Amino acid sequence: MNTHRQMRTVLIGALLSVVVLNACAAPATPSAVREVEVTREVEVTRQVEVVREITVTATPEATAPKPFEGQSINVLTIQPHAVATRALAKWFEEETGARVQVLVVPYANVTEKAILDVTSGAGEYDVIEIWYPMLGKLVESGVLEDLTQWWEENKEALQFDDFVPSIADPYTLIDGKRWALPYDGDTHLLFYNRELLEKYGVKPPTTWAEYREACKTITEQGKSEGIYGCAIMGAKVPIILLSTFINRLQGYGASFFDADGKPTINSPEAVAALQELVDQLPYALPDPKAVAFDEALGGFTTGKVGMVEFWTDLGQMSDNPEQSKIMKKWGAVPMPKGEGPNAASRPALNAGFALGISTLAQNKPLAYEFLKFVGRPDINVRVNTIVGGLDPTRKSTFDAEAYRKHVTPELADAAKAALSGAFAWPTNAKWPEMQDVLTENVAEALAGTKTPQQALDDTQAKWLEILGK
Amino acid sequence: MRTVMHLLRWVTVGLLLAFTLIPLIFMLTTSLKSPIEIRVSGSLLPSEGIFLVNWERAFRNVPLPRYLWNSLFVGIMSTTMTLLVAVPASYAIVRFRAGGRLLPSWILGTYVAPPIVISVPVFMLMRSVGLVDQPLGLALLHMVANLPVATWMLMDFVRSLPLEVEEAAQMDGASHWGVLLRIVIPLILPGLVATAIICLILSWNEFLFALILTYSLRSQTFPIGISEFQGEHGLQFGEISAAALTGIVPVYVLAMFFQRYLIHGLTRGSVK
Amino acid sequence: MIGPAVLTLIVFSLYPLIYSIALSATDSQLARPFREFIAFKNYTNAARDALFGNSLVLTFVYAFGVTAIETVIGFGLALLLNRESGPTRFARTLGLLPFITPPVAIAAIWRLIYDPSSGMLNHYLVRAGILEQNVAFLGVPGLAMASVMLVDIWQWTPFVFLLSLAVLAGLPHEPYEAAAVDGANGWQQFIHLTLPLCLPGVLVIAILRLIGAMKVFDLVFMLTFGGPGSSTQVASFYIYKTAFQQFKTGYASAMTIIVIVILSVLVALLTALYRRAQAKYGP
Repeated sequence: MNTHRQMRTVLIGALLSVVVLNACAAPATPSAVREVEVTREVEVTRQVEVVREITVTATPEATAPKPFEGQSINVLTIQPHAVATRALAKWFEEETGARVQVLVVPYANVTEKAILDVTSGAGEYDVIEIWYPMLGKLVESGVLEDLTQWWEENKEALQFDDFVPSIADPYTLIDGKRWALPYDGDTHLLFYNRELLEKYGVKPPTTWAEYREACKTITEQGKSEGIYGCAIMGAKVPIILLSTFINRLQGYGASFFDADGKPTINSPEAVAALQELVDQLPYALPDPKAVAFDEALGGFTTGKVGMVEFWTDLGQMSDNPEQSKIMKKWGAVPMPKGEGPNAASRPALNAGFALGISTLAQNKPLAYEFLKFVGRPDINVRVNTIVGGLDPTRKSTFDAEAYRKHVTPELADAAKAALSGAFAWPTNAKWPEMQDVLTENVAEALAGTKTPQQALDDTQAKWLEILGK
Repeated sequence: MRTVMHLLRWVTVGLLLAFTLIPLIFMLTTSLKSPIEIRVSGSLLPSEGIFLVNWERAFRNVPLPRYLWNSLFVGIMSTTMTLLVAVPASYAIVRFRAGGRLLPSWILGTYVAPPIVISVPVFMLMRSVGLVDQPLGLALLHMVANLPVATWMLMDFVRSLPLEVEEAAQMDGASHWGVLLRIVIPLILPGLVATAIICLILSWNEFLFALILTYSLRSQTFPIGISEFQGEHGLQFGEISAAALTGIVPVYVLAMFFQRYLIHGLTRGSVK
Repeated sequence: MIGPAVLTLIVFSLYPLIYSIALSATDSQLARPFREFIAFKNYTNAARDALFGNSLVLTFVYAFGVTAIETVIGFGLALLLNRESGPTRFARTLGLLPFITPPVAIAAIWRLIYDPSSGMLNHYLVRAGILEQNVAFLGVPGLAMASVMLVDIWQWTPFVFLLSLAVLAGLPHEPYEAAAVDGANGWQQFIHLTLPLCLPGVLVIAILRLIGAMKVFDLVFMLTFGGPGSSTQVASFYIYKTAFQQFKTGYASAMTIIVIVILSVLVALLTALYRRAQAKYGP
């Protein structure tokens, strides 16, 4: 009986505390919600920069007129960019007096959320974040406002030519019209652990064959101590697996389509690229089929892995004492080359995001204003000098002193070089379907249930069917 | 012989409990490890000392109390609604063959549909009545989702009641509702409580409808909050663990509180 | 008394079902529902789709596998803990914990447990000499399926356990008193009374669990994304990919309807079994 009474006391206490907590959070008006969100920016010690910047700029703005006082918009963003988008929202609020509610979803669900919102007529989002290969699908789905006219009017003010040319069009252009603003420029570099490579007498590779040999050498000697030459992200998630495959596809000079738009995914170069990937698997951190973002990141930053192809901000993560055992012991080189007549060292635009405006935006003028704000060169520098999840989209940002200091000049140069020459994934309206077919088949090749030739022949056949050719 | 059986019993229970608890203990120790140790070592216990940094960050980076409140609200609302609908329905189905064979099959039939495609028309439906991004809308959907589980379990509990007591009450002039409220519900209380706990937990953990139907903190539930720890720098395992443990506490206390009603007559029907 | 239930069913099951059936006869996309009437083409495509067939097989393996194990362990544990004492009561509440843990956190912690380079399982199995070297539990076809199933068993056995306790709590006194008078020992009571009396209730629990397992989605989504190869690509996940990654809602609807039909037949068989058990052993 006694325990019963105790339990009841605990329960009542728990319920009471919930009620009290709710009293603090409620009523569920946007402003209450927003306050909670703002506190989230003041996060980890490494994000102190955000706070500092806010206080610096707040003063001069205080006297300026605030044209959008009392108005509000909702911005859809992906979880990895939550910190950056919230920072931008805050700065924008300070400058304009408008209110920006940042609505966050897991990156895997962002496209379906946007389409469902518009198709159903809900229209809750004003500004929408776009994974750029989905651009064609979103345009076809009627989700995005046509920004062509807006770009014409703001080309000068927003210095369109300052965007890294390799991303400017793929991120924004469909059928000759512009639909978006580049937001997060992403590409891969080949990172290596200098200490491990030296220890096993290996040089950073320049070709995929050298990469395979280097990986093999380290793994064969280091395996017993849990050291592997390389980590290959082969988990069956499109953004992960296709990044890995397309890195090699580019090295071998293969392409998705020929000049007439006919698929060429089973070209000899493409098959050679996939074969090379399959040949590398036995020497990589086991098992590549279960290695995704977290496993690769963890393997590299804990010093268990000699090399990894990864997004450029791995440099910052490797120098973060809190999650890294390889501070200042790493280096980065451009993507290795393949073999054959078209071989080239050419990275791919793996991941990468843009911002667009919903056709159902309830406050379009303010949504445009927000895009104009985010697109400003000075804002691009500012948001890329906090640890918020974004990478530069502008040439001027890569050259900006603040940014170079933030990420180290070496990494800024390497990232700029990689992004500038990078090859874009397709963005047509059929790509989501084509991408899924390709993922399925590359995964089969990795699992050994299809040969590379078979996998890509099957992909080719299915692609022809999808495209109606 | 008796002691051997006794021993065997406790060894089995012990092994199963170990299987149950080790991942949770690992979750607790993970939340107390330094972020780098989480990556480096698979050891169950922290070896570099105890760190509270994951807990601090879990609470600072994500408004957990707000998510927990939403979950609690949606969970209690949906469980209440589920029972209000399921209890009379299951009683009527069992005792009066209401709805014939069709109704119980139909109820179970709603449970077989994979919810992914169904979520699209359901979203449209909710939007047309203005319940998108509202806790009430989500609670309503959870009620629908849990109705088959609740009805079918309750049907079985009602069926196992001896008829005589109900008949005696009816002879005394009690209405159907009177019998249900005064006789049946007290008698099936253990089953009712188990069903309520199950419904509460199912609602608490539901992810897909919550993801599709909610937009903001106004209605987002705890599972959505937990998924926020997947940032640009990967899954924050320590912070997820801390947050998850925080969320386990209120439901566990609730379940523990109600579980005492399960104890009625538990000593019968066991291997002696 | 059945009014609210019927109303709920009409609004929330009939409408989505009709909507889905209608979608399945069209070449619909997520953004363009009911685009072009194509009659049964989605269904004939599904019949020819090897990946869909594979996903159905995997779904059956998964659902029957986990349901059988969860029912045995859950009911067995309920029997063992079905008595009143301090330790059993404590063990009972602890047994519930996995079920309370949010699936996202479950997936995260099991990814740490299964991690190929620094996971807990590898850490201890290698140390104990059971494994020679680290194993990628989620990276090998077959093994990955078993690994996902193990997480399901961990997560859902408490569901069976809790409801089994309630079934046991509802058992009538009289037969036991009579048996005690006849001098039946514990084992005989268990075989001749407890097991038959519990059978209908346990069957309901198993049916509910089987249907739940047939729809498994979140664990696959967070642990393997259907890989390696297509070795964990169960039907729900394949349907999800079709609807929300490829945005082909027409085709996804057709596959959903096929799954509903298959499951309905299965459930009809099982409920018939339940009715027979009920008629034979019920009060």
